[in-house]
Formats: sequence, structure tokens, C-alpha cells
Amino acid sequence: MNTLTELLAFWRTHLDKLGQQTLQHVALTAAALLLGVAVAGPLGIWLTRHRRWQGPVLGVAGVLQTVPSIALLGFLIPLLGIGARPAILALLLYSLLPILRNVVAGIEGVEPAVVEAARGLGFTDGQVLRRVQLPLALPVLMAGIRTATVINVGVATLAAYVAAGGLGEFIFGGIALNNPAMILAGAVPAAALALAFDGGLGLLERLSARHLRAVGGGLLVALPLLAAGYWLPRATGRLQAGFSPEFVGRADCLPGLTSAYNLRRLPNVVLAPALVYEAARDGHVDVIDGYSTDGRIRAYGLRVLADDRRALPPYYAAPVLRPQLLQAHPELGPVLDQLSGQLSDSAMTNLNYQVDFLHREPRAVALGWLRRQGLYRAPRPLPPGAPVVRLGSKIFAEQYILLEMYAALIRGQTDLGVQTKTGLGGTIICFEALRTGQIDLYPEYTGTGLQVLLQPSPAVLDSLAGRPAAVYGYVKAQFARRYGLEWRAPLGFNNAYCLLMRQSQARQLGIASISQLGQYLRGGR
Amino acid sequence: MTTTAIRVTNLRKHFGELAVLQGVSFEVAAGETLVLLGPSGCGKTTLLKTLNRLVEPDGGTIEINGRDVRQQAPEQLRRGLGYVIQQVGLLPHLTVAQNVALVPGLLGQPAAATQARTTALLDRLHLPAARFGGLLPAQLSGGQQQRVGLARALAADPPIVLLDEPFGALDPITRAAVRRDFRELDELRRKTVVLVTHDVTEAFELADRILLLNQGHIEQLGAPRELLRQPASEFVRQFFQAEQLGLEMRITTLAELRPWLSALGSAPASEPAPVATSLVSGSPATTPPPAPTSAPGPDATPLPWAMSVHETLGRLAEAGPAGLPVADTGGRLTQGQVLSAFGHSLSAFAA
Repeated sequence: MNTLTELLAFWRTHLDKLGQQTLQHVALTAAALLLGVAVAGPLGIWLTRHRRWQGPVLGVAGVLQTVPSIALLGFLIPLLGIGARPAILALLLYSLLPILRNVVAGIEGVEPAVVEAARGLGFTDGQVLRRVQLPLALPVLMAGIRTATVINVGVATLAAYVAAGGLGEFIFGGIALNNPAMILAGAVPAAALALAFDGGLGLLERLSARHLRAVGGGLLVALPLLAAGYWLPRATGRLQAGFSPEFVGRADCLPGLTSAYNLRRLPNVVLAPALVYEAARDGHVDVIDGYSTDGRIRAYGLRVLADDRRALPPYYAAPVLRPQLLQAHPELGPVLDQLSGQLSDSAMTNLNYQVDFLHREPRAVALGWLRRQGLYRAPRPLPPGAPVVRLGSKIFAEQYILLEMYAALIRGQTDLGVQTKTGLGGTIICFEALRTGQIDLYPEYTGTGLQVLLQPSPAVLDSLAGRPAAVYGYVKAQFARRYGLEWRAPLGFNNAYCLLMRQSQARQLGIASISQLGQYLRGGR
Repeated sequence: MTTTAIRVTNLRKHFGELAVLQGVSFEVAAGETLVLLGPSGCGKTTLLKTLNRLVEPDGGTIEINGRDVRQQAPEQLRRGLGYVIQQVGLLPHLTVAQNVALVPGLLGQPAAATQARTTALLDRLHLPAARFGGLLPAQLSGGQQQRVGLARALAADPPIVLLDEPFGALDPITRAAVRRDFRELDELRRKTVVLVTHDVTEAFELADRILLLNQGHIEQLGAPRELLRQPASEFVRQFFQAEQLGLEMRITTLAELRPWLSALGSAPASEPAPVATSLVSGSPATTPPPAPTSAPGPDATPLPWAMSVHETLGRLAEAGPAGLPVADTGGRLTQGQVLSAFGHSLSAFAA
């Protein structure tokens, strides 16, 4: 009930986005379907006349069907860039198999005697096809098109990952923000669209079961009209931005930034978090969101725009642990605290770069840094039956590196064993593992603790106002009170959201801070 | 003088290793009904399909109305040849009337004329257009569907009609009824008809001439009575053996029975010369004997001498002896004489 109210409230406040995304979704599906019918229809007919090609062609279509959709999109980005083109091509490839298979099955399923009689009466091959085979195969053909449609409506949600819009923007934003109402805000209309498309095609089929031309014409008129929704004029500006769903959805990210810096003339598209850096590097977009310590900033020659008005929330990293751990092993506290304040933004970026782009082992990178800091000690021999400290991490390089640092410190300076669990998918999984005692410690970020886990009221957020110390203090107090978990001192770096541009472009335009970006967009200078 | 509608010369066709037609040559006269007869797999359907180019032969020529069929696009050729198949093959998504009107439509004939023609044909085939025209094929019985198939083949009034086992899928009673309609259709009397069947009774009932095929070559081509009375090979003789009696009754005319009637001693002298030789020796009786020359009595109807025994018996069965047009001794036969003559001839055949 609560979710339903939230869902309705979300729709009310995002009515324009809902309409735009639905329109985009319909347009993507319709365009892909139109092309799918245009490609697979004639190809299927050709296959009924060249039967030895049926195996190879249907085999290839089948293989395409098994490629995971996000992987397919990934393959298409280098070829077609971002936006509608890779999305439509991916959907087209997914619609091939059901349409092809049913065209072949439908035409070959027509009673041979009917075809022979028609030929014997003097129908040309084309007339046999148009007036006999296609009308009689129509129910099977339409079943294939309907299957392709439902698949397309589903897969089209992924278009949100390549800046093609659609209802996936809500869905992936909702997943990133752990916001069920937002997920439903996209998923419910997507499901309704699938049903509506399927029902509409079924109606078309029944209304004109005997009129192939009407069905074909109906599709030919309706699909381009629907697809045209995609090419409605879009806002254009001097720069194009590409943001991840979470960045767009969170009140303290893009909306906060827009009002703080007056960035209204920055048109943006939504992209998969994994794709934003590449999109910026390849020039598909000019401004992206990122994490300030990401190794790709250095690897791709990007520049972090200074958040000179402190509009973006702070994300200081700090270990979160179960207090029971320190009660049982008081010697551990000082060991862990050796890292406090030791890692600057640039130091962390550099370490991430070594792992992400030089493909060095996180452990080697971690130990190398510890040695340079004089913190490394060789592991002590473990006494039999020594207690074990269980360390957890999310699945990305920075967390792996931090984990290896803590593991090395504990092994070298205590008599405790270490067990690392690095496969914990995301924030929620790590947090739940810690809360339920399956791990003893993992590195967390103050902003994540605040926004994803605690989710305080806007009034509280206002009072914190993005001040790092205030946020840390609030998170530490609330975790202790609500979950009985302890935040140790921050490590020093702020892996916060930031805005990034290509260094070359930023230098050329003279943009070093978000304020300057705002001025540039407003036409100053 | 008859003109040749179809001339087939040295036709050959292989399906892989299998020789289906091995140098087949024959002619069909305009207005003639030729039945392609033979056991399963003898090549008769393949032969029929070469005529409208549904099968392209490996060698030999086919001329229709003096023109090589290869000079025409297959579709154009087929539109001029009616075509009926065993499975009927009505287009299931079109109504009966639409099915019948297909070929005129392909030929671009005016819709109004086509509609009138469709209605007339359906009426003649006992499927009144008002009631049946709007139905879909699936709503018809097998016999009704085949009648529609026949109407469809005739709709554009083609001079030549090809039929491939048109009655083969029907139950015996329906088959007899549809066959009778077929035989009695004026349309077909004027047309050149090539019909494929494996049913010898059907062949004898419908054929002017029969072409008996075996393993891709012609065993014999001739009128039914020639095949029966003068078999060209042991194969031909054996082919008809099982049905001998029934077939004889179909080809034996009343005129041929006259000697037997004379043997009864009551045939008047004024009647035509006996043709007993035709029964005994098997020489063909191609022309029926002339009608009796003496003046008929006031109520008499001349006996139809050309009528077959089979047909005469059929009329007897329908109307009883009274239905048989015979008169008394004034130069005529009595019913009793005719019936006893039948008895004699039947026992002679059976011997």
C-alpha cells in the first residue's frame, strides 16, 4: 500500500518524464519492429524457396537471441556510438528469430494442395505468395510478430543504458537508488505497453483475418507513426551531457547541481554507469558524472570540474565494522586506524588506475603502497585456532585494494587470521552481511550510508548541507543507534560524484569548475 | 474433320534415377475426352502436369492448339486450361463465389460478367449461388467442394480442361452423383477433356478414348471397346480382367444384341442386318445401326439402339420394364424379348 502511494506520488511529480519515456519506449519498439518485419519478412520468404539456407540462417538468428542484451549493446557502442541507433539495432536483432521462424513455418504450413491448385489456375509465384500463402500464413506470421514485440518491449528497457531513453531510465534509476516505487514507475508502464502492443496486434489480426493488405498497410502506417515519436525535437545546447541513472535520479546530484549552478541549458541523456566514461572519451557526450577517484579519469584524460559551491554530497571512505570485533580484539583498533587520513584523492585515483588500466593485482598494488608508507610488515605465523576476521567488499577495484590493505595490516601486526569476501555485489548486500554478522568489516562511503541506507528526510539533509564532517557525524551516530555498527575514522579521500570533461575540451573552453561550466552554458565568455 | 487440340511428341521425364515418362506420344482431338488410365505410379499424373507445365519434361514437345507450350509463360498457359485436382485445393480464406471467380479475375474479365457466369455455373452444379456463394469451403461437404472445384476450372470457359483424379477422394455414393453431374454438364461436352484416373469403370463411363499407361510408356491408346476387345498386350488384358463383365455391359449396345434377339425368332425381317459378328469376333462397331425403317405404330417410340446395356439396365432399374421404350410386334420388340436377350448376352459374356 505504501509503495503504491509512493508510486502514484512519483508519477505525479514526474509526469512529463513518464510521458516522454513512454513515447521513447513505444518509438524504439515500433522502429525495431518495423525494421524487423522489413528484414525478417522477405528473408523468411526467401528461405522458404531456398530451403538449404534455413539451417544456417535460423542458426545465426538463434545465436543472436542468446547474446545477453547488455553485452549486445556493449558490442554495438563502438560501431554505432550511443543513442537510438545501437538500441534499435539490438532490438532488431532480437526480433529476427521469432519473425523468421514463424514466416517460414507459416508459409510452409499452407496446405500443398491449395498452392498447387492456385499455381494450376495460373497464379504467378508472386500471386501465390500474396493471395494464397501470406493470407493463409497470417495467423502464424502475426504470432511471430507479437512474440517479437513482447520481447522488444522488454529489451527496450535496456535502451536506457545507451542513452536511447525509454522506461528503463526509471527502472535502472530505481535499482541504483534502491527505490522500489521508482522501479515500478518504469516497470508497470513497460508491462502495460507489452500487453497493449500484443493486444493491438491481435486486434489487427482478427479484424482483418482475410485482408492481408489491410494488416500490412496498418503495420506500415502505424509503426512509422509510433517510431516518429522518437524524433520529436529535443533540447540542444552547446554541450551534451551523459549521466548515469542514479546521478539523474538523486535529489542531491543532478537536480541539486542544476539549481546550485544554474545548469538548465545542459541537455542530458541517460547512460549505463559502465558506459559514461567511454562515451566521454569517444566524444559522444561532453560532460559526464563520475567518481572522483576512478582510475579512468587518468586513463582517459578527463578533468574533474571543481565543485566550488559544494553542491555534491561528500563520499568519504571509512571502514564500518561490528563493535563486537573490537571488544574481542582491542589490539585491532589501532592497527586499522593506521590508514586514517592517509589516502588522498589523487593517491586513490592512482591506485585505482594501476588496477583498472594497468591490470595489476589489487593485492600487489595495496602492498606496494603500504611498503612506501612504511606500514608493511611480513605476515606473522598464525597460532593454531586463531580467531579469524572476515572482511567484505563491493565488487570494484577501489574496494578490493582497501580490503587487501586491511588484510595485510591485520596479518602483519596481529595474531588474527583473515578471511576476505570480495564477491558482495552492492551496497545492500554488503550492509546486510555486516548487520547479520556474516562479515566483520567493509569499507563504506559516508554519502552512500546517508543516501542509500539511512535515507533521512529532506529537512535532515538540508541541515547537513553537504558538509563532510556533519555528514560523517550524522552517519556515525545513526549507524550506532539504529544498527549497532561502528564507523571508524575516514581514510582521507572523497570518492564523491563529480562532473568530468575531456581535458582537451575543458582547457580549450577554459572550464575548470562547475561554476565556469554554468557560465559557459549561459553563453558567457 | 476434327482438329487436334493437344499433340504430345516423345515426352520424357526422369525424377532422379526413376524414368517416369519414356517417350510418350499421342494426340487429343478437339472436343474429345481422353482418360489417362493406369496403375499407381505409372506416370499418369506427371503426364497431365506436363500439359500445363506444373512439371517441366526433360525431353519431347507438347503443342496445344498447334502452339508449343514453351512459347507461353506458364501462368498464361494455365489460365487457358481448366485444372481440377483430387484434393480440390479451394482457397480456404475465400468464399465459394470468390473461388469460382478466380481465373476470370486473373484474366481481367469484367466483374459483372464473371458474377453472372459464377452464378450460372454454381446453379448448374446444384449449388445455388444464392445459398452457397457466400459460404467458405470448410462449410461444404467433400462432394460440394469438388463441384466448386469443377465450377472454378470452367469459370473462364477454357477450351481444354485437365482433371487429376477429380472424384478420387469422394465416397462411392457421392462419387457417382458428382460423376453424373460431370457427365451431364453441357459445358464439358464441347470441351477437350484430359482426365486422370485409376478407376477403370470411371474411365469407361467418361472416356471417348483411353490412354493406358504402364511404367512410363503407353500400353494402348484407343476407344474403350478396343482396349477391352482387342487388348494390345497381356498387361492390357489383365488390367481389365477383374471388371470384365461390368465393362462389357458399358460398351455393348442394344444394336449388338440384335442377333440374340433374332435368335429368339421374333425379330421382323424389316430390321437392319444383324451385327452378331461384332460380339463374336470383336470387330469394332463404330457406328450404331440405322433406326428401323418400317413405319412405327401410333404409340411407338423407336428403340435407342445405340444405348449400352448398362444404361438400359439403369433405366429399367429406375422406371421398371415400362420405362423401356419398346412396342409390340409391328416391327418392334417386346419388353420380354429385350429382357431375355439381356439374359442371353450376360451368360455369353460370363462364359
